[in-house]
Amino acid sequence: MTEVIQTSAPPSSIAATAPVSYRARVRWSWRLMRRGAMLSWLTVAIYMSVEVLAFRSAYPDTASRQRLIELSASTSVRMLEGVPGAVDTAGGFAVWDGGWMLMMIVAAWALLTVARLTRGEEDSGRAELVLSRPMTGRQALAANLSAMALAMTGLALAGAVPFIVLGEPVAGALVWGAGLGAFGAVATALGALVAQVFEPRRRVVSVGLGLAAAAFLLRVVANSADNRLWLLAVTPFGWLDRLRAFSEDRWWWLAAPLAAALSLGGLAELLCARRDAGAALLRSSATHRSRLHLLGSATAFGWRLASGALLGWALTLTVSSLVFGLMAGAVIDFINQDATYRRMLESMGMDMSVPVVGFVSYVTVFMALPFAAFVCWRVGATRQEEAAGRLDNLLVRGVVRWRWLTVTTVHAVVAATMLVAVTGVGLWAGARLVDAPVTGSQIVEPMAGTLPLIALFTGISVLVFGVAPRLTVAVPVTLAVLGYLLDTFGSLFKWPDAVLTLSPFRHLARLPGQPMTAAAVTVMTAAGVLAATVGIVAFARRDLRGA
Amino acid sequence: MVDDRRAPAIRTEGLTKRFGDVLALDSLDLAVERGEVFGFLGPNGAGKTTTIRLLLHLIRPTAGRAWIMGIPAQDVGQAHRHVGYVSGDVALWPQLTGIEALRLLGNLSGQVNESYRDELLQRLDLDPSRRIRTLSKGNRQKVALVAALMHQPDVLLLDEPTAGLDPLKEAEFQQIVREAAGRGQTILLSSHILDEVEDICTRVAILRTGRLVEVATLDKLRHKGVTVFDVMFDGVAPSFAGVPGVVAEQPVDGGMRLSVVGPPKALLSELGRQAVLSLRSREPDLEEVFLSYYGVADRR
Repeated sequence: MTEVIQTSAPPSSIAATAPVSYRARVRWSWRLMRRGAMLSWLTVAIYMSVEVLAFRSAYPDTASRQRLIELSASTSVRMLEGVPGAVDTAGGFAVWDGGWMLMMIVAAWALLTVARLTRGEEDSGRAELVLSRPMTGRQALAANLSAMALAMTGLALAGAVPFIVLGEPVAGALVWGAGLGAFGAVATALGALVAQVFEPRRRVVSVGLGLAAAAFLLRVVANSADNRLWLLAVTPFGWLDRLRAFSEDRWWWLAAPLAAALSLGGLAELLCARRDAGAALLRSSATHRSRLHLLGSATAFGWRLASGALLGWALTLTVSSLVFGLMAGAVIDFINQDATYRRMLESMGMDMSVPVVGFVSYVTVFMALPFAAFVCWRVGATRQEEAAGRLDNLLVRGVVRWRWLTVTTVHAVVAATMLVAVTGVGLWAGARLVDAPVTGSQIVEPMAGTLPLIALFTGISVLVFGVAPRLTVAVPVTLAVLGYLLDTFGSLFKWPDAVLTLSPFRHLARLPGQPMTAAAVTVMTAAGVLAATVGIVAFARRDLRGA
Repeated sequence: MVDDRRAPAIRTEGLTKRFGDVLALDSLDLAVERGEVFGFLGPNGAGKTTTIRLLLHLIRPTAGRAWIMGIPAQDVGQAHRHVGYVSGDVALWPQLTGIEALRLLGNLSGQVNESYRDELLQRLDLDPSRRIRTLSKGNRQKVALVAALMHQPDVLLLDEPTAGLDPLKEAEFQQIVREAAGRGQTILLSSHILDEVEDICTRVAILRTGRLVEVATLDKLRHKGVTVFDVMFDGVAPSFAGVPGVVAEQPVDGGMRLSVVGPPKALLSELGRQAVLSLRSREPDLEEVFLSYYGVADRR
């Protein structure tokens, strides 16, 4: 049941009443998000630089670039990457090949961050500390949005500067960077709007990400045929395509995201004045029928707490792997026709002697990163329970720490194994639908190969949780991302084997040529079990620590 | 193995906790007998919460040992069977309803007395069908109280348990605690609400910067040689902070309230030199006893 709450807070002008505290509030918002903002700038800058460098080494001459133009028009590739523009230039190729991925990253980061700064702070009650100062809810929201605008300006620069530094056309770089920043601003304003309507933060995040996914699907549909291209005009993901950076540089399309960001943000400001602090326009009902399953023990309850998020991960990974499966047919055609593209993939560590099998292995290595991220997140959620003091409720009722953490760790591995299974099924179903010549066992083998990697990262997470709880998420996630990047780009740049072998991702199966070795399985699993054991013992022997 | 039928409900021996450079608890020796309502007093940072978290083995002692009903505190599987705990800073899962939270915590504690649980819900006037997220601080505190009391544990460790309760519910809570003591349950009540401690506790311990400075019954504390003088002056009341024996002074309307430890000779001779209008002496209340331990020195 939902009801609409209306309050009659008087409208107020934002800058007039208290400019000093407003500026302090902007600085505070910025402080709460600056690390994530800088990380997103870094991601964008590195991603674009690598795309440019990869293009230059893979397509050095006119002939190979001409082939690329012909093949980039393939429908299934176009559905994901968009209508190619100037893909025979490094700039055009980079924004075409990597733009869609960056848009997804930027949208997800903006939505998560704005939900945390607005609804999250209200859920925790911290927002009231701010609102008890001479500052209205609208001013607090405006301060959050200003700080996000700063982050998006930085993002625009991070998108443009690598191209300029690497000698690509300045105009294209600026149009593309500005477009990416403006796109981020739209996602921010959308998140702010959703945060006015829904509570709590979890719901804001799922509604926001759901809307973003719908907008992305609309772009996929729009790019699927020429007579549907007009649809690009109605989805923010399409506006960046319409800019056609590095080919036509239609900078006037920047008006679309900027207008959308301003109107969505304005609407959020308007709605903010019509609700109580801490409440949303649509209020979820206070009472609710109790569900009494999985309340029998601490570990059963742990499973219950994680099950909602597990479902979210499963859905996302299944859909993604289904899309990868559907791409299999087109990618194979692409590879068979374009020896250069094939060489580029091979230089990134993909075995292309039987392209479809190589592709499946490649996708598996790619999916291993979210698998690792999942176990890091899962152990991180355990740390969150401790930091918030909720774990006390269990541990003062006879729950023995080492036993509890052991079962929680096993649960994390079981949940990750379920994710591996549904991902495999998605990949298989997608490949089936396009009749790609790949058998079930050719999917099962590389997928099963990710399990030792999952064991390894579970172990590392539990170890860090045991000995340095405040770093529980940061350390293992950083190690996973570095390991993945080392494997992918280390091969591309032909780094020595002694370095590459440090990455656990290096040892995953590369079918058909390189199955996973028994040594790799044993070493990763044993290291994971050992690390987890040390972590569990350390946790049992240390003090509980707050945030 | 200690004979746990005769062991005190709570016992500590040289219990010490250091957080880095900070000595949070310094060699605490304490025994709380079964059926006692034991008050645990001290200002913020005195070590009250640290002691309780050590008893629950949420944090590990730097030195010393602790027992609950004769069971070593580190044997949480056994020791916690006898324990109910409420903290002043209740953290529950916001997405659960009160019913769900109580079911979970009851399953963990085991042996919930359901009719008693329902009685508690009714007496504290708590609607358990609401999600924790939608409850006020006081109502969340009630969920935690019910969760700690509903299995009628032998030992209740209550760390500022009435934070956020209104005065009516606070009185109801005190009544519930008295009834629990009547059933033979032991209660350790950490608080800085002195009225609350004075109303229900039989014995109190006073902590100061991690050190135990006093353990006594309330009666003994009152007769601990502290005398309170209410002195009225003709004109502005002077300060007596430097007078030997004076441990606390508090301006009152037209005069000064002075707490004196030991013989009041020095004060009386000082008063002889002042324009005193009236002088009354009486036994101290707990607050005055309490202040005499921290008194002038701590407020400088």
